[in-house]
Amino acid sequence: MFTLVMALLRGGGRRTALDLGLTVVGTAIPVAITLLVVGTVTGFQEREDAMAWREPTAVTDAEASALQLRRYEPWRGKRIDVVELRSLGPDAPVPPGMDRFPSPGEIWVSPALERLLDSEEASALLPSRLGGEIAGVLGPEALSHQDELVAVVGNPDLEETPPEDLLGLDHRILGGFVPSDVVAIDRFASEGTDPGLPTQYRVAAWIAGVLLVAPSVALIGAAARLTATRRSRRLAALRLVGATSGQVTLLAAMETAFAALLGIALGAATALAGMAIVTGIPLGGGTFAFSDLLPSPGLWLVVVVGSLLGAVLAALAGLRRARTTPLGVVRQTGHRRPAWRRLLVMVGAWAVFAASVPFTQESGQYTLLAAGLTVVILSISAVGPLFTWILGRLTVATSQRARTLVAGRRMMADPVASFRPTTGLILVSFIAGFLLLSSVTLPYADADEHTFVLGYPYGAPDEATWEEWRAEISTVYPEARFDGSWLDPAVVLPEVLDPERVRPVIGEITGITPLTTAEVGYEIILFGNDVRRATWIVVVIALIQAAFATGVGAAASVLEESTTLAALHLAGAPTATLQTSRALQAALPITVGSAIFTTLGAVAGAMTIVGVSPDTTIAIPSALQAGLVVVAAGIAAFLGTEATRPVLNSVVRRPLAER
Amino acid sequence: MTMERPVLSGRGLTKRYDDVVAIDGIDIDIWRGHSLALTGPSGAGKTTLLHVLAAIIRPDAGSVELDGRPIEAVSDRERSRLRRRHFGFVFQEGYLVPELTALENVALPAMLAGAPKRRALENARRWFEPFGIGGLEKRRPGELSGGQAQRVAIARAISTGPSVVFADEPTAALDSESTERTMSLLESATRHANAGLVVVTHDPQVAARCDAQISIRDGRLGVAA
Repeated sequence: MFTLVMALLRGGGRRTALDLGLTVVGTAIPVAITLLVVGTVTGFQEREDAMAWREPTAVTDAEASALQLRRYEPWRGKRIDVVELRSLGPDAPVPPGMDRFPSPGEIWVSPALERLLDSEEASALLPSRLGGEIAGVLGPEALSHQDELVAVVGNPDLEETPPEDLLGLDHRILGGFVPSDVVAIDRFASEGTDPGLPTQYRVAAWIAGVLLVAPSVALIGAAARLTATRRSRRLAALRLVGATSGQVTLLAAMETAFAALLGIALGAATALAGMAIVTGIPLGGGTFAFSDLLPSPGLWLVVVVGSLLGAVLAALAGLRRARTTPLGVVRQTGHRRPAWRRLLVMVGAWAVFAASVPFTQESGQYTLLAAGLTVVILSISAVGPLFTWILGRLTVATSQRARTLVAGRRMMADPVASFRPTTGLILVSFIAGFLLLSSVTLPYADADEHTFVLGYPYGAPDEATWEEWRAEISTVYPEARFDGSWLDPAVVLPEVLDPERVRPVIGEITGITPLTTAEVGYEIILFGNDVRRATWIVVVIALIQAAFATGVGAAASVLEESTTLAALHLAGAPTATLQTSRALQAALPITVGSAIFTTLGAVAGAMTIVGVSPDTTIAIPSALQAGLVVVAAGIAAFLGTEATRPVLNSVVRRPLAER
Repeated sequence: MTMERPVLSGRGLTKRYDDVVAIDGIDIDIWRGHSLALTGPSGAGKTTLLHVLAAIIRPDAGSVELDGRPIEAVSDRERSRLRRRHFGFVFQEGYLVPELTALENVALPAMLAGAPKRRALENARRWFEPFGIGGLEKRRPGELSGGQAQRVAIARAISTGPSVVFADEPTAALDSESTERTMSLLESATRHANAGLVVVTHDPQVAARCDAQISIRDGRLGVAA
């Protein structure tokens, strides 16, 4: 059997080489994307684990050997992660990245913080605010990425927080500027549990992964369909000379597996190259090391085996005709309208997704939300053929020209096949709508670094206290302006004043460390900027994939309909008319579908944001922004279909007798 | 019947595919109201000659004239227009567009020529009763028998009032009864339309029905009957 497979591959000529190439690329792209997504999620998990030691974890079953507190020190819109430690005995654990426990009054800093302290101003102001003198530099084991600002401080004055003063919640969900409790420890934590920014990044990476991998499934389907057209004919011939259905299946499986393995190797190499590129993109405030992005061997295995199975199953699904009958021919007998229950699938998927939102809000668990989103995306391929059939019906009813009549009838005759090449672009529209809403909803980075808010994070002062603060601050800084009421107090400084020199003065007056709006919104601003950057990357990658899938699908449809197209050409239909008809067949569902699914994507985006962060005010993308997505999808469809014009030309010029 | 000039004529027609000479210096005339059978073994060049005459492919050498106008060198667009307006085609198994109804298939050439859908459909409908396929207008090709599909194909070929109808093995997939009915219809319809008819066939009985026969062998004209 192996010999036969190799003989068929060798003797297949250009067409077989093209089929193999498409299967290789069709497998390589999803493999590369999946590995990149898994790698990025791994990277965020590695980061979370790398910084886990900074969060105090109370000793439960051993004797405490140290006290630990964690807080953030604000600095020019950023934050310095400060870990304060006090030894309770000789067994105090050595923090990661250090060779000993810090002595009282010592500060160990990360390399990035050391560089910051090279400036005269920072070296004058920061050490006293951190609580000691610089004594050493933290090693990479202490850091989640090389740009982190981290300080470990030996603080002899730490006292364990009495039970009645315990916060009762994770201080990190307040943005981290509220210090943790002072906790007795016997070791440092090694696994991340941060409910704040790292979790948001992991969820975002999974969502981006789902959004990116879904169109690549359409690509696998399109490539499998193209190769199936040739195989059906060849394997039907094999069946005629006595090959069993099992032999035909095995033959196709081996042939596809051969190409898929090449694709997996290419995909893995592409993923590694992609990871090298990702190391240059700042995410979450810093860049990843290459080793952070490498998935575990187990995950590699899952991706490899899953892709191999996926490619083989897609190919076998395309073989049904050849296996069923030796003649392998099914004549078109009527219009097959997809069942209306497909609509119910979509409604059900949205219901599941909608139900996951309040669950997520209450539990803080994002798994169900991600599952709901996945189901919604998958339901698009269920409802797509029905949508295509309806559109085809409308096109036929309103058509005046042969090209629109033929396009509409084709959409009605085989809505599944008509929708398949467009699946990728419809999904991209959904993704773009989702990300568009997310990116306009998340705040921008131009938060004010000269406005101190005085109500955060400890709550607003009473009205009388606010009046006292105003009077005292006005005395020191007559040029300061006061915004907001006593419920939402804020001090706006003229730009000539350095916030870092004003901060301790206002802190002295109010008794709290004042934070700028940039610092208060540090996490959400950082996240918002990264989402906006990632939006472009995700949409561009998805568009390229979708255009490729549309082109491959269009090429497959030309080959499948070669006889009809040639007969139309003989009957006097110019190639341009045939091309226009095919372009309409692809462009109509894409243009209308893109508008619908961009809107649905935005709705899904709003629901996801509300699920993750209930207090967020949703912003609506402008019609222009949404229109750009629809136009981009239309252009991708046009380019994808246009690229197959040479295939059409070759098909209509081949004599009918040779088919 | 006026027979001053053939409606379609080819002189010195030659076509090669790589090193293979498909037709080699063929002279041929097609007359209105007359039928001509092209016979010969497989690979003799019958279909190539039909495609050259029908402006589907360009000859490497020689000329083709339609009503005295040379057509062998016109553009692809112009050749498409010529096929729409002056030629009709009937093939083995009909080669109807499977997604369209029988009525839409017959209306298709008119729509391709720019006629509004309603008018094209009305014009197409009038061919169904005379051709014995009344009541089948809404069926799709897959729901028709071979003979019915061929009659729809003939209606499609005749509906635009062609100068010449080309039929490539029109009865190859039919039983003897359907062959008889199809050929009768093809002959009467083309004669009634005063069009020339060119039939490529392996079947001696079909060839014998035509007004003239030309046998082709190795790309050259053989015995003419």
